[in-house]
Amino acid sequence: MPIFFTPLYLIAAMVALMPVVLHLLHRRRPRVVPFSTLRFLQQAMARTRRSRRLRNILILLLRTAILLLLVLAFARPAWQYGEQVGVQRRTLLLILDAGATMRVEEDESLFERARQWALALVDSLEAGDRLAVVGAGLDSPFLVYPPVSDRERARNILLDMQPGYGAGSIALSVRDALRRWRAEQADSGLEIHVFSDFRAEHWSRRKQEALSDQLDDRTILFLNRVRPRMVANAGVIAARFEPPVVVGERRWLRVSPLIRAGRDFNGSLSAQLWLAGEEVHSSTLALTPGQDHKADLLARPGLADGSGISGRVEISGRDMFAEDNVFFFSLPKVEEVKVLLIADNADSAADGALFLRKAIAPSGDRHALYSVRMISGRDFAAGEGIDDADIIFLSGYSRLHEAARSRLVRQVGTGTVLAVFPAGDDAGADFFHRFGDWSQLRVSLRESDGMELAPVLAGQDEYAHPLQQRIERALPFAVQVPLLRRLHFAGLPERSSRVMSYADGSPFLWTAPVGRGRLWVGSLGAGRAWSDWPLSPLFVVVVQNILRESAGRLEPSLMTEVGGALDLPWPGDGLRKDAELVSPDGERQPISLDRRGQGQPFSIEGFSQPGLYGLHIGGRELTVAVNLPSSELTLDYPTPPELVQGIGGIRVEQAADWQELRSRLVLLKSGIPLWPWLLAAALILTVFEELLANGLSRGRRGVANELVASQIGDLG
Amino acid sequence: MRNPIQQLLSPADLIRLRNLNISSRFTVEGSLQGAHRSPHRGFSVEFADYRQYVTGDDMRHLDWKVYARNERLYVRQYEEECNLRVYLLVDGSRSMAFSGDQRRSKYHFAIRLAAALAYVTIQQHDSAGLTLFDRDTVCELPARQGRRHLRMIGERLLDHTPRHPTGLARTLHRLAEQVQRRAVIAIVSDLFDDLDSVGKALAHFRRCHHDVIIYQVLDPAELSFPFTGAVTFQDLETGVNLMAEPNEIRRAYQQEISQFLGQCKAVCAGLDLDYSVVDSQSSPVEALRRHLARRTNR
Repeated sequence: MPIFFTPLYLIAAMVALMPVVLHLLHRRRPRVVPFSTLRFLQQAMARTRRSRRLRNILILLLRTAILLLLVLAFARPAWQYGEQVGVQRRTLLLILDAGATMRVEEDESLFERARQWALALVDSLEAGDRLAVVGAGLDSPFLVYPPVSDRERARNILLDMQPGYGAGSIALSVRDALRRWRAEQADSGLEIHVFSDFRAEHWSRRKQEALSDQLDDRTILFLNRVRPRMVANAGVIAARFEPPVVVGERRWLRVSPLIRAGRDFNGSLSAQLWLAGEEVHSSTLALTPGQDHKADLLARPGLADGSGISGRVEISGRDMFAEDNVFFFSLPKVEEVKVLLIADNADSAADGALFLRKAIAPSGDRHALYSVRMISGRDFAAGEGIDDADIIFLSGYSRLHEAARSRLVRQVGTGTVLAVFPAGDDAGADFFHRFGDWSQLRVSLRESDGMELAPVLAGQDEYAHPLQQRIERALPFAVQVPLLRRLHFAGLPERSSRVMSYADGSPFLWTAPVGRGRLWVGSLGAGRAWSDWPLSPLFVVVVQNILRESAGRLEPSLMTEVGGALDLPWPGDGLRKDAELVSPDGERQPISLDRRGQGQPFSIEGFSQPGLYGLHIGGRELTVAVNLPSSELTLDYPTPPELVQGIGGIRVEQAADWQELRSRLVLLKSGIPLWPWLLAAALILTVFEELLANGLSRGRRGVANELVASQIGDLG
Repeated sequence: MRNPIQQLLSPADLIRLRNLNISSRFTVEGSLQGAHRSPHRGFSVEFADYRQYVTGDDMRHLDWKVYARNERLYVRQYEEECNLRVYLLVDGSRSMAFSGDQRRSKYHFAIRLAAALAYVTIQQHDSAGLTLFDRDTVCELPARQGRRHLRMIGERLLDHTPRHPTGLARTLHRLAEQVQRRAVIAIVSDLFDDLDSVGKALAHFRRCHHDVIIYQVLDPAELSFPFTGAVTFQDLETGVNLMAEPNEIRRAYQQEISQFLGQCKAVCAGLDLDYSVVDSQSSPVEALRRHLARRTNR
């Protein structure tokens, strides 16, 4: 709505009457000019009567409008936006993104740039203005709340702020701050200034829309973008470990970091594997901007310590975001894996138990970490306990009656791994249907005429399980399996993965999660009745990898993110346990851990920075690896229009620096000055008036001279 | 007291007029033997045609060259030459008193032009007459030769002051009846009269085989209409006032007068009249010189 800063000048609007008065006065006293004949004048007057009348009215209106515009310009009108930016007392909510990505450096860190910007805004406030300060991503984000008029206090808070290593969930922080504000200050207008890099992860359209529900027309939102000019960064966003847990005394470890290159990153870098403070392997990678790259780092870690193996993957080179150049890891150690073998005849080559037993513990060492117990199918069917088994190998399933099958399904659902190999006359899918909604699964028996050498192909199946790669690495040659019969599978359940396939596409081995456990299903029996594959290295490799894969699920993960929690299963009855947490800086902090009930894990929090933490609990020493949150590993910046596409119904302003913000604030506070527009309009109308009143006639006089010359013949 | 012609024409003007000649584009009838073509054929200076010899023809006019070619006898025919009469019709109506820039009026230009034309006519030993008119004939002088007659023409022109409205068409009709023999009729006027009537009168002259010259005298202000500001225009002939804003009507006025001049030109062209528009602020002597030179070159 318009407002007038010098309304007194509106009185001068009376001057707009001047053209009318002058027009009336002017008409009465024209000079007298004798003329030879009025004949042509009269004809001309008759012809132009209507156009003259219109023209005169238009000129009069133009002159009146010009004067009116001039008077209005002097009254200094401005167009003001509602009442969000108060002319008198303002209330501001400053939200600074203190997430890990605000540590990105370009001359200075983004957080420092945001801080200086916020300080400039604070310094520009007037006495009586109130402000609150929120640090998004900090453990205690409400640094100054409720809003205060003590600017010095707010300045000091801003100066003391430091960015964290956690997720800067800006949209959530704004929403939380607004909820608190609405509960306490329902009727006041509010300026929300958010200083952030507004990455897509934390300012997606969906999050904007959720935030919009909290905003109303008494709020004005300022999105102050603090961003690097270029994304010349590379970081480790994830890593795979093989084996995923330390099983016994390992002889090798493969670490495969996934490195993401920013859109402006060019060149190569070196990825290094560090164990126990020592670089054990490095690899050089040439990176393509905007692409992910995988490296392979190998190590022979030697004897693992009590808790497992810990270390870090580091990429060399200084880039704009140093914090994502390191990935910490801690792999737990598993002492013993209880394996239960269900077969009818442990010594029967046809049955498969013999070969399975050999494949589980090839060396036969009594210190082997897999303790194998065998029961017959009959004993199992009779109800013998399987509750303490970590992994169950089942050779032949069609002999099991309903109760036994149900026991198996329940056991797998609680977290046990079940590997099933057919035997005897096994076929049909009804055994598998009870593991889930697998009604589409079809199983049939394919028999060959004599021993067939069937190639087993790796393929590029998108559903391939990672175990396939490990098998390929173990057996780099082409795999061919001599077989008499095999199971053919079709309609595999959702979320299933296959490990290698036959030429007809049927899986050689497939797996699927069942509850908290996992099911592995082979197409060939573990005995020689179906094929000779138990005699091949492939059989041992497959069984060993199933064991390792399953063993990795047995121990809790010792890796988490900043701001995250670690669930630590702990035997015993107590619901509370004292422990000590040692930060990467060496700071020791006693902590008290609680759990909801027996059998539930203890939840450990308090990981505020990346690194390797020591956890001393119950006589055990564990190493916990903490990395940056995954949400902080991608520097993806939406465009300014994308930042507001999900926000509707309120005024949103954006700025890239303090100067721009200041200009916007001045405009919003005092409104858009209208006087330049009024003067411009008056000038344009003046030009029109001049053209209409005189300019056209001057042109006609010029034409008249030519007319005179043309009419007077060669005598004059 | 100065000769009235000398009041109208300066010595320099007279010098410039001395070598000019005016003639008729058509044959004329004159009573004296002069330098102009006569419609009557006889034995005179200028060869006109051949005819076969008949008994009694003057042997001196036999063309022997023709005989040598054709072995036939032919005599030459000659055109009889006689004197020219120029009648000056000068518009002395009130509209001719207009002067756009208050310097010289159209009437002042017209009488100087008429005086120059009379001078040229009499200078070449031809006869000049004058009819000065407004709504009626103001004065009339027959076509005569001689310097005394020239002075009288000058006196009549100078004595008149435009006061009354025009009666151009009526005057032309009457004069067409009066002038019996073919002559040159030079009309000096602004032609601000009913064009239909004027056209009929001019046609009357042409039917009588007169060579009509029309000098339409206009002031530049009447064409360009340079006035500004609100003005009350007063008709010099009727006295009627009309208030107008010249800027508003200038274009339309120019179109009207341009249309009128076009009609005048068309009427004159249709009657084979020698028509020219002359600028009243220019030199009448120069205007006459150019016009006569053009007539000679046709």
